Amino acid sequence: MTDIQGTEAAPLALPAPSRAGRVRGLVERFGPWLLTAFLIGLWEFAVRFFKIPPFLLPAPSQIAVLMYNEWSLIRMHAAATISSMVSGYVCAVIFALTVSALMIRFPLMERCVMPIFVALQSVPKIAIAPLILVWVGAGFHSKLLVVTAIAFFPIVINTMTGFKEVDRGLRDVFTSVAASERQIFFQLRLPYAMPYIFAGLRIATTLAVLGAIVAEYLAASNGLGYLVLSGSFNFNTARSFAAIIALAVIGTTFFGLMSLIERRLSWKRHAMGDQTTHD
Amino acid sequence: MAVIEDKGALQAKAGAGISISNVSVVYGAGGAEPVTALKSINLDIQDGAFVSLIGPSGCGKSTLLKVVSDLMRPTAGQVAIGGASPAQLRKAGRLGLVFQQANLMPWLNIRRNIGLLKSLVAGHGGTVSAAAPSVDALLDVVGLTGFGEKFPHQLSGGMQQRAALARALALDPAVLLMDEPFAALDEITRDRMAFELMRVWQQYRKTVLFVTHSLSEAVLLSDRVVLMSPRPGRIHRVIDIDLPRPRTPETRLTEGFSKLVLELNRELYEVMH
Repeated sequence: MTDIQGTEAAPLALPAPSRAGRVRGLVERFGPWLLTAFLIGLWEFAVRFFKIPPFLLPAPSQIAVLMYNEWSLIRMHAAATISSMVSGYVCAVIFALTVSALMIRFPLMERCVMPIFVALQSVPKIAIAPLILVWVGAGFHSKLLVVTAIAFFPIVINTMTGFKEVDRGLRDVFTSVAASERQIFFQLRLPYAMPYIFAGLRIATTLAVLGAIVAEYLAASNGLGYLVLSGSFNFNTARSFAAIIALAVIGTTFFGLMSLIERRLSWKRHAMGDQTTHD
Repeated sequence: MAVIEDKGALQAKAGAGISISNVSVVYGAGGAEPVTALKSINLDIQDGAFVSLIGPSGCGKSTLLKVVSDLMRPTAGQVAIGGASPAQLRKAGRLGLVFQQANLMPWLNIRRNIGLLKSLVAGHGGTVSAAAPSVDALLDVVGLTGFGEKFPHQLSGGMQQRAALARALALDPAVLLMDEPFAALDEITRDRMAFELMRVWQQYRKTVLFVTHSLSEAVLLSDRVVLMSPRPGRIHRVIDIDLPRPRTPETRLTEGFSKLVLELNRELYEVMH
């Protein structure tokens, strides 16, 4: 009994943190960074200790040196990847939102088109990338198309889910003053669907990066995907690693940027709270 | 010209009586097994009265409220509210609806939720009544002053329902139509809300049609209680509640109150057996 009271009282008393407590706090906060640093150190040590040839596995220090020396090259290829990825993504967003709005406005269109989208959703879109190259040829446009094709589906499907799931009760409020279809779309469906739309947009960022890399693997003379491939062909493994690191940074930044915009524009689903209960 | 005069007439009336004549609702009419939800309902509610609809589930009380709210068309019969049809009033934004759920837009703060209907009516070319109270006045009336910038999920269930009541009053409605507005609340909050509603009603004197499951709530709030019976839904009895106003928590301790609740209980038992 006294034990239980003791532990319960502890957080209230706010005692001066002990040394062990401080270390624990630091580990909790910086744990992932410390672990990463440790693994990189281990990697460096292993490469040096076992004398692994650089074309098999370059040491982190070698990669860092190469990134520093070839910074302008990496920057140029990164710019190519980012431009095709971002334009493809923007195309996918515009296209997906327009198609969703049209499908809501014209239910017949939805009934014809939506099942096709749902069926295509389960087809790995990467598989059609070579065909796009055949049709459009290598270069910026084929990259843009591959990115658009792959990023389009999650956005359209999530957006439609949001548009269609609009709470019946909220709709009744709009109906009670004879709101127009236009008002219902812009002031009810669109804001209601925001969390769904952003879920789609976040999935699409990851896919857009993937699409750009695949297109560059297949046929391209620039871009980070190309750099990864050419690095491995020439046994310049450190360069491949450098390109992969750049891709990771780009992907994470893109995803983070989207989450930031979401926080600005959207409300959270869980904020609906008990609105879903019915007797 | 006639249309404009008509609109003027709608706005001139602060409140309006409700007249329900011969209303029937049949689901699946013309099908193999039509279900009669409401059969020849006749009911006259005078301007400014508080009337409750009560009865076992399936008696069609919510259906009747939907017909008066123009959320559903009756199969036969008609409803007139202050001489206008529910459809006309709905288009003019003069029906104040409160639902079981607060149905607040989670992405709008309370102030904008309350102002939503006003902006919707103005946005589709309607005219907002000159008598429509300001959002600040409404926040004050329902006791939410200082909560205007909060979002719905930051408010308790009772407070959300107060905001929904304020929203229903925002367009200076001809009538208030309430479908079990306190059913989702806990007992204590529910009790408080009943007195809050009476206070607001005393202030605005709107005609209220109130659907509830609770006998004591119906007796406490109403001028008249309409008891309905199921299969097919029709009016079993209308009971006048002649308890003096203003009613207080003490009203429930009076003999008159318990007598009425008992009588309703007996009638309800009859209806169900």
